[in-house]
Amino acid sequence: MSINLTSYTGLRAATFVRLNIQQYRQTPGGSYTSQILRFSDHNVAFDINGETYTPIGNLLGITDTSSELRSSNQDITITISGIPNTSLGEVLYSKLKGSNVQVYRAYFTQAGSQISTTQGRWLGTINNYNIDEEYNVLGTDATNSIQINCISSLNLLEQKIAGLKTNPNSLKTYAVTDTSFDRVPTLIGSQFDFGVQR
Amino acid sequence: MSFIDTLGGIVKGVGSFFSSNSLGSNLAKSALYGFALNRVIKSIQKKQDENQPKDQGTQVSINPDPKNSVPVVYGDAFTSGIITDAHMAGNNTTLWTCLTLSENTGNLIDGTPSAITFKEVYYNGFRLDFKADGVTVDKAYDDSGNSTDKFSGLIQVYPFVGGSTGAVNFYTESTGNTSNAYNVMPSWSSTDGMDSLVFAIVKINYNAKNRVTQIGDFKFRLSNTMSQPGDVLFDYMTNTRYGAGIPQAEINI
Repeated sequence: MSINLTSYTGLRAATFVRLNIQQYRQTPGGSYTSQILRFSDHNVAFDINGETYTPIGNLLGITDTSSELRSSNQDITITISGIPNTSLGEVLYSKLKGSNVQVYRAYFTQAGSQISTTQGRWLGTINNYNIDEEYNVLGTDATNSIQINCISSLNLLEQKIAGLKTNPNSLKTYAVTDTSFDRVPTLIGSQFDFGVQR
Repeated sequence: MSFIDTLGGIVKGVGSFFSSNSLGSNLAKSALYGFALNRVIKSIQKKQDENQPKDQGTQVSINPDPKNSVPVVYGDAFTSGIITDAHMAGNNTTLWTCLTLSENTGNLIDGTPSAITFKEVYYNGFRLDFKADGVTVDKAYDDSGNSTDKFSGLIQVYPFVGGSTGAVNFYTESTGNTSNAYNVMPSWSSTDGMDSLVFAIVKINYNAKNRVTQIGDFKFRLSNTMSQPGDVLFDYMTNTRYGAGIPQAEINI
């Protein structure tokens, strides 16, 4: 969808991230729950589809993606900085890998009014993450940044090994007790004396 | 006079009968010579038959690849299928094979289940026609429409859709097999379910004279009611078995 920006002398763009973490917990022994984390690099809280995105401003960084006519399989890295030590447990004890990631983008005027509607920018899954500690020697405290590597849904689809193979293990993945393909391995290279009467 | 003397008299009488030149004697001699000649000729023929080479049959190689992917047929398509089982029976004169043809596809976007039909089957380039039972081959037709009886009664094709309990008829036949696949294919049991698969069990009777000596090249024409691009894309995106497995909720239809 194209937006006509010719009538604007200046604008701001904001990025909104929605992480859907299926196994989230804050303590090591706690039970997992489903948690959706929403945040943006905007300067004020903003609603998309009835959900409010917390503004964390410059503490959020997202690598660039190119806009192409066709869907492309670019991966992105989301960096969240300034995480206090006390909040690090949420990252360490939750299972972030495999969580669904949605990235939106919206344009605003200098006065803060939204131009057009919010656009979907990227869709994918958390592939991996790493945590960097920034230790303040003078203050004897530390903040952390987390880099979340996300793989696009298109990339996942390209890597997916789809389809039933003609071997017993493949069939039993979908039908545990089905023995229809059990004889395939023993038939490999077999010879039948067709028509030879004994 | 004992019975021994009586038998001796009979033998003597027969000997004198053949040694005489009477009409009856000559006729009897001719018949005797004819009988002897006949026995000699039969004996020679028997020896010649024994020396003739016997039908050695053929070596049929079956090499299924466990890495083969089962095809997914959308719309109208021809498929040869993948051999996933074979069984010899009838003193090596009957070869049973299971040809796996396609996955059974899911629902259309509107929720209607898709349906796969067996339209036609070709064997070595001949389109097969069936007898009244719907499974035994009757006539075969070449590209020009010429018919032949050379496969008649030698091949049987049992089509199934959706698994071993999904016996169906060919589109052209009003009757067909109604038994479960595991009651048709020798050595199968109820655990051979062929879960959600479209397949055919083929029975071939060896016949060297009609050159039915191999599994041959089977081609099945299948027709799937799932043929519209939107339905196909939706099925492929959502199917967890052969598709991308994307949750339906994430697709804006």
